[in-house]
Amino acid sequence: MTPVAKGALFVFTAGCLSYIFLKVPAAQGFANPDLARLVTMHLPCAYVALVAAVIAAWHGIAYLRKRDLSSDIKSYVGAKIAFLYCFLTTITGSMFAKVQWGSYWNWDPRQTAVAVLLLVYAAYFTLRASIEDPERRAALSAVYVLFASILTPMLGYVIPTFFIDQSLHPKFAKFDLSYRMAIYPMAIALTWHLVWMFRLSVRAEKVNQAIAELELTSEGGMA
Amino acid sequence: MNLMTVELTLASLTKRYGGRKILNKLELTAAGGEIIGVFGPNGSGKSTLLRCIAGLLRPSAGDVKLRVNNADCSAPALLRSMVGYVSPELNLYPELSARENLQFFAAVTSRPSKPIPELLAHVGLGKRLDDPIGNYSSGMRQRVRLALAALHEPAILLLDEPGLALDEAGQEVVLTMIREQQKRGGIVILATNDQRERELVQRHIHVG
Amino acid sequence: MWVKETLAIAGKELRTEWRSRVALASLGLFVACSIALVALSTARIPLNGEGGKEIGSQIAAALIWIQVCFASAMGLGRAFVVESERGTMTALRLHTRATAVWAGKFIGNTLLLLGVCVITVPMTCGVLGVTVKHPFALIAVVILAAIGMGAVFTTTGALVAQTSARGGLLAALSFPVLLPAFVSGVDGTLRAIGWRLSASSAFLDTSGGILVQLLSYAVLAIAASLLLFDAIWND
Repeated sequence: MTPVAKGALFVFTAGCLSYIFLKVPAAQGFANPDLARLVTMHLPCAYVALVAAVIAAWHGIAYLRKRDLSSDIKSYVGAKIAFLYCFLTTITGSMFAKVQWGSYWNWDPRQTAVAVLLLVYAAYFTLRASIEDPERRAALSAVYVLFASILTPMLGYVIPTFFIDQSLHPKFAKFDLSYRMAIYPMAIALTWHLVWMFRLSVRAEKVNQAIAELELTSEGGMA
Repeated sequence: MNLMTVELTLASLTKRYGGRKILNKLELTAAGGEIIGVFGPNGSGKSTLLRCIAGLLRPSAGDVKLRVNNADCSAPALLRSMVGYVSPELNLYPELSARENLQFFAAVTSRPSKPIPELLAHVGLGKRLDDPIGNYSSGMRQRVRLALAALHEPAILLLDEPGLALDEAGQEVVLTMIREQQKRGGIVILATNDQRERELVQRHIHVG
Repeated sequence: MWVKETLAIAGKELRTEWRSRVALASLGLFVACSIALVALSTARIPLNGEGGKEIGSQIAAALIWIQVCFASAMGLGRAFVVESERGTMTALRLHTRATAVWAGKFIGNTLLLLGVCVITVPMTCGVLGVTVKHPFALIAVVILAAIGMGAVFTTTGALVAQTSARGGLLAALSFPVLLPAFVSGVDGTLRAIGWRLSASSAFLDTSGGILVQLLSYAVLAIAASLLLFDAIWND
């Protein structure tokens, strides 16, 4: 990213945050109307986590079709970012639950689903660490990330939407204009961050692999 | 299977493990009736090469191309069904007898297979066909591996140290198998350090 | 052809298992121990009277599925690990089609899992003094959950067999993916036992949705496995 783009990202993010802290009104009807503003952070984080999860799965499919190891790196980086944003979603959600409903954790279906995603990605990183052959590691990690992507939406989307009536999460949220004005730009800002992090991490990962290869070749040369 | 033409091509075949290159841009073209040796010290990648040709291991770069009777058989799943593979790392089910093992593999394979009594008679297991393989000596197990490799009349016979643990008569079985595969118009790829087996080799590639 | 190959693999699974009885023996012991622990620990909880009965049925629904999950993680994941440890995986890969292997192993695993349930479910209910109000509903819940879980363990077991980690990794990979079936299984068991249902109300009226959840999970797990197993088997 060029310095100008970085500057623009900084100004945009700062603008979003200032709007949230200075202009968004307290939401009446909550136990703590002031802290209801947390939702303007919580929702964009959940959205970016979903985008990153889709990126991980998408590049997983790409690897299995084309067998290009750079797809594997992209899938891996996508999973890392998804893990980070699942974590942030959980933290902001727990804070919201604590101030509004008095408990950090309620085993709400969506809450459980994000926790499960955290476990899925943790298992995914462990799986990667336990396979030495790069081609096999790429294929098996892609399989697991896709397998989990097919089965975990059951918990986070299908069951809460079609089978459960009482949930802490609204099925179809309706926000005031002032909240939408905060949530949408914040989602754009975080997506912009996601793109930046993604490209940077992919490059870093490629450099890491090239260095590892160089070191091994030079060792071989000396022996 | 009736083998009219068999062509195997390795095109800049490369296999890396964690950055270490085991196989580096190997090239080979072989046609039916050829016996190719794979030579190199222990740990040089002979077995890795054979696993790549068998479709058991995916190359990091380059291709394994196989054409049988002018049909392309290079996809890993097809490649596997076209090879007979003998290796110390391939084992059969110890709870099942030699006969049951071969019957099982004949039942699951999608290709037509040879009559099992004939196969077993060929490798000379004698009267212990119905004992569980777990009770066999290592030489006898090697004979069952040879029988399994010949089960569906492969286009390529991949032999990784085929004489391992075999007595004089057993080694004769290996030599006969190699000659028969050659006569049928199939390819033999042989990784070995045994002198008598090496004498059959027409040309060789060196790895490591 | 595909059916014949699948049945040959399932038959081989059952035959080798019957001759060695390694998984059967360890699973049997595991189930016996876990039920003994359930009996011992819940003997300290007073479960008499109407209130006690209610608590008993809630505990039973949770304990049944915890036991089944851990028993499966120990017994079922071995199906492919054993092949890889003994070197029979190579022979199997050379001679079989991916989907037939998956289906054959899946049949073997699901039968083993149902065997675990046949012992665990009635024994746990018995130990906790639970009377099941809708036995057929309970059977349906158990069968559907077992099919979904069998499919997941077959696929994760195959993944783990290709790695160097094995044992611990299987539970880590399977449990998060299994959770939808686990949650629906506990819900369904609670309802089938009759928790908060009057004796007269039909199970399907109030809880049919749970069966739909379990069925769709099973279908999804089987479809996803068949789609992805090729990639596990070819690498």
